[in-house]
Amino acid sequence: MRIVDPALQELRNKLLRMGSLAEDILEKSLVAVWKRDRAAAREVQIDDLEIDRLDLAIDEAVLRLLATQAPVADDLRGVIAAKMIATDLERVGDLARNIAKCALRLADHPEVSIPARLRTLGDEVQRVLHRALDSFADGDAERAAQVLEQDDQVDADQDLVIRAAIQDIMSHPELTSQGVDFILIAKNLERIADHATNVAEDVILATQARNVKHAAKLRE
Amino acid sequence: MLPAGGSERRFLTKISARDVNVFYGDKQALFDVNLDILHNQVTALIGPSGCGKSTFIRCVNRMNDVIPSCRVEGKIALDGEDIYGPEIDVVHLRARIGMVFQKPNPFPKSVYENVAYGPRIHGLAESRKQLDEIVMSSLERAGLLAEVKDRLGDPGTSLSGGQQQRLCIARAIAVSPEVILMDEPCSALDPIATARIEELIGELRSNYTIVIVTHSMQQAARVSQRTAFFHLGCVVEVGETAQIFTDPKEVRTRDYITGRFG
Amino acid sequence: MTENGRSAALRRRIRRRHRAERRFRLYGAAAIAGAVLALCALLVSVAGRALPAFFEHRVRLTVRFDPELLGADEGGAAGLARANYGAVLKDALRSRFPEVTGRSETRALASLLSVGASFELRDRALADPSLVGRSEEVWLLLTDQADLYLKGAADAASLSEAQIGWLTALRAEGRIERAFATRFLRSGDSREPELAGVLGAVLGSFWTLVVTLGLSFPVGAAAALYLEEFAPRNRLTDWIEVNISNLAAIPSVVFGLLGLALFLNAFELPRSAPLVGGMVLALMTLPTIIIAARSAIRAVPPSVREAALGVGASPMQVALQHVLPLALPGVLTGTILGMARALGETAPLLMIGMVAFIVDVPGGVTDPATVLPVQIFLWADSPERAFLAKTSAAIVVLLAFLVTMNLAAVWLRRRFERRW
Repeated sequence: MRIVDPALQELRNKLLRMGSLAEDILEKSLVAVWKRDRAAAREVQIDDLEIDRLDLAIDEAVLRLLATQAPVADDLRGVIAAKMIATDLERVGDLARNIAKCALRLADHPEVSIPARLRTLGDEVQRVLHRALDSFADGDAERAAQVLEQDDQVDADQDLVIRAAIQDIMSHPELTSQGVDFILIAKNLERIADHATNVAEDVILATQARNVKHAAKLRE
Repeated sequence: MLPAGGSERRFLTKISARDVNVFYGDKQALFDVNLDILHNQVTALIGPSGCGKSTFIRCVNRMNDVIPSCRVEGKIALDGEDIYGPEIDVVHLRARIGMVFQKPNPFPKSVYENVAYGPRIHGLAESRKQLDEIVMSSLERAGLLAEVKDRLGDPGTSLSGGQQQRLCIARAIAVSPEVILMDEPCSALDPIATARIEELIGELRSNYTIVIVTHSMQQAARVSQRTAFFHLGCVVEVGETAQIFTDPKEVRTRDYITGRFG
Repeated sequence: MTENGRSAALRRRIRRRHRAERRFRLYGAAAIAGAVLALCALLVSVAGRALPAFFEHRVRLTVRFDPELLGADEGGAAGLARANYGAVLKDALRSRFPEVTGRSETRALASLLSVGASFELRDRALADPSLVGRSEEVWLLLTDQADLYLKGAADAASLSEAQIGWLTALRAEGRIERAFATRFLRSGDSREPELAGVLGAVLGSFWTLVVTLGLSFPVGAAAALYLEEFAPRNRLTDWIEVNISNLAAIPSVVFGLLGLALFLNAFELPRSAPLVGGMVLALMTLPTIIIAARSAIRAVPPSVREAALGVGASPMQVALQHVLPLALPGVLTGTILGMARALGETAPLLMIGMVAFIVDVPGGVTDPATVLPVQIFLWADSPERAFLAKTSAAIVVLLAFLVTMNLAAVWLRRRFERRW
C-alpha cells in the first residue's frame, strides 16, 4: 500500500457521499414539487448545507494531497477530477435548492396540476445524474460516454416543457406565476443534467486521459 | 523499443543509441537500448536502482573504458559519428561530452585552477588573459562568480556542497562541451542548493545538450523536456516529460512513477 | 531479585567496569613509560660514553721555527712542506724540559705529543711563511694516551711514571687546555685515535644515500604508478606483486652478494665507492618504496581520477598531475623509511668492500669511501681504548643524521600534504 492510497481513498469516500447526497437532494426537491410537500422542501435547505460542507472538506483534502504527495499520472488526474466533480455536485445542491423554492410557492396552489412532461423531465434528469455518479463509482468510461449522449435529449425535452409552459401562460394569464415556476424548475433540471454531464467528462479524463469537454462547441 | 515519436521535429538528434548492449564480464547490464538525445534539450533518465541508467550515461562519454571487464556493443553516435569508432580520440571526446558526478569532486586545487585545468590541457587559451576570460565566463554561467570572485585562490574544497557542485559544473563548461552528462548531481545536496542547480540546468539548456540521471521523479518532471524510463536494463518508455507524468503509455512506467514499485 | 538487589548488583558491575577501565589505561601508560624509559636509558648511556670523544687536550709550547732545525733547503712552499717539523717539536719540548736527556727519555717525552702535531706546525708555516726564524706560542695536540689520562682514565692510559710527571707539571703551569674537538667532525679516519674523525664516514654515507635516493625513488615511484594505474590485472602482475613483497623481506646481505657479483665483478665498477654502495642499497630499498607508494596511490579516491578523466585528461595526465601529487606524502614516508634503513645497513656494504680503511674524505660518488655503520663497526673492533669513546660518538652522529633525515621528511610531507 502506498502512502498516498489512504488519502486517495478518503477523498473518494467523500465524493461518493457527496454524490449520494446530491441524488437524495434532487429526489427530495422533486418530491416537494410533485407532492406539494413543504417539509421536504425545507429539508432540502438543510441537506444543501451538508453538501456545501463536504465541498469545503474536499477542497482542503485536495490541496493537502497535492502539496504533500505530488501525485502523478492517474493519481494526479483522479485528484484533479475529484475537485471538479465536487464543484459540479455542489452546484447540483444549489440547483436543487432553487427547485425546492419553486416547490414552496407551488404548494400554495395545490389546484394547479403539474405538467406530465415536467415529471418526465424530472425522472429523466434523475436517471442521468444516477448514471453519471455510477460511472464515477465504477470508474466506467463507457457509461460516462453514454451520459454525454443523453445530454442532447434532455435539452430537447426541456425545450418542450418550456414551450408548453409558455403556451399555458399565454392562454391562462392568471396561472402565470405557476407557469414561471414550471419554467424555472425545467431550467434548473436541465442545468443539473449539464453538471451530471460534466461529472461524466471528468470521469473520462481521470480514467482515459482524454479531455472531451466543450467538444460540441469546439466542433462548431 | 523505439522512442516515442515527437512533435519535436524542430530539435535535431545530438546523441543516438542503437541496439546498445553492455556487459560487465558475463553479466549483462543493458539490453538493446535505443534512445535519442535531442539537441539543446534536457533529457532525464529515471528508473529504480540498478536499472542501467548510470551505465548508459557512462557509455556516452566512454567512462566505462576504465573498467576492464566492461564490454559495449551497438552504436552510440554523437552528431552521427560512432563514438566507439577507431579514429575517435577518447580524450577529445570527453572534452566534447562533459560530466558532473553525484558527489561533488573538485580538484584539490584553487577555485581558479579547478576551472582553468581543462582549458589548459586542451590548449583552449593562448594567453593568460584568454584563460582568465574562460574561467570568469564559466564561473559566471555556472552562477558561481558572484560568490567566489574574491576567493579564486581558495581551495575548491573549502566551498559548501552546493557551491562545489556548481564549481564542477563550471569546470565542465570551461572546456566548451556540446553535451553535459549529470549523474544524480543533486543527490548529495540540500534542497536550496538543489533548487539552485535545477535553475542552472534550465539556464544552461539553451547552450548545451543535457542528460540528467535522477532518482527524484519530481526533479525529472521539473527540469527535463524529455524523459526515458529504464527498468532492468531496458528502455521501457521515452517521451515528452509532461506526457510521461500525466499519461504514461506503459503500465510499468505508470507503476514506477506512482510508486507502486521501485 | 528485588529492586534493591538489582540496583546493588548494577552498582557493583559499574564499579568493576570502572576499575577495569582504569587498569587498562594504566597498562597502556606503563607500556609507553617503559618504552620511553628504555629509549632514554639507551640514549643517555650512549651519549655519556660519547662525550669524551668530543673533547681533546692540547698543550701550549713555545716553538722556535729555527730554519736550521727545519732544514728547508729549497725555498718556498715545497721546502716548507718537506721541512723537519719533528725536530722543531723535540726542540720545543727540550726547551721546556731541559733535564730530559737520553734517547729513550726524549722519545718518551716526544711521544706525549700526537703524531699529527708536526703536521699542525707544517700547516701553520705554510699559512704564514714569515714564522720561519721566529718563536711562537703554539697549542699542540696531545697523544691519545695522554688524552685518556687527562680525562681521568688513569688505569687505561699506559703512561710511564715520568710521562705522568711531565703531564702533571705542564698542567700545573696551566699549559694544558681542554678544547672542543672539532677535528672529530672535520677529519677522516686515522690510525691515531686522537686524529680520527667521522667526516669521511659521514660524507661516505651522504654520497651513498644520494645515489640510493636518486636511483630508488624515481624507479620505485614510477613502478608503483605503473603497477597501480596502467598495468592490466592478470597472472603476471599478481606474480610481480607477490614477489615485491618477498623482495622486501630478503636479508640485506644477499643484496651485497648480488652487488659483488654483478657490479664489481661483471661491470667492474670501483670497489668501496658510494656509487656501488648506493646501487646495492637502492636494490634493497626499492621494494619498500614500491609497497608504500602503491598503498599511497591506492588510497587516492577514485573520484579524483573520475573528475580528471571527465574533464578530458589523458591517463598519463591523470596519473602524474592528479594521482601522484595526492599520493606523494605516502610515497615520501615510504622513501624515508627505506632511506633510514639504508643508512643503518652494514652487511651488504661489507660485501662490496666498503670495509677498507679509508683516510681521505670522499669528494664524489666514485671516490673510495666508507659509511657510518661500517666506521662504527671498525672502531668498535679496534684495540685502542680511545676508540671506545669515538665509537659511541660516531653512533651519536649517526642518530643525529637519522633525526635530520626524518625532520626533512616531515617538512617535505607537510609541504606536499593537500586536503581533498
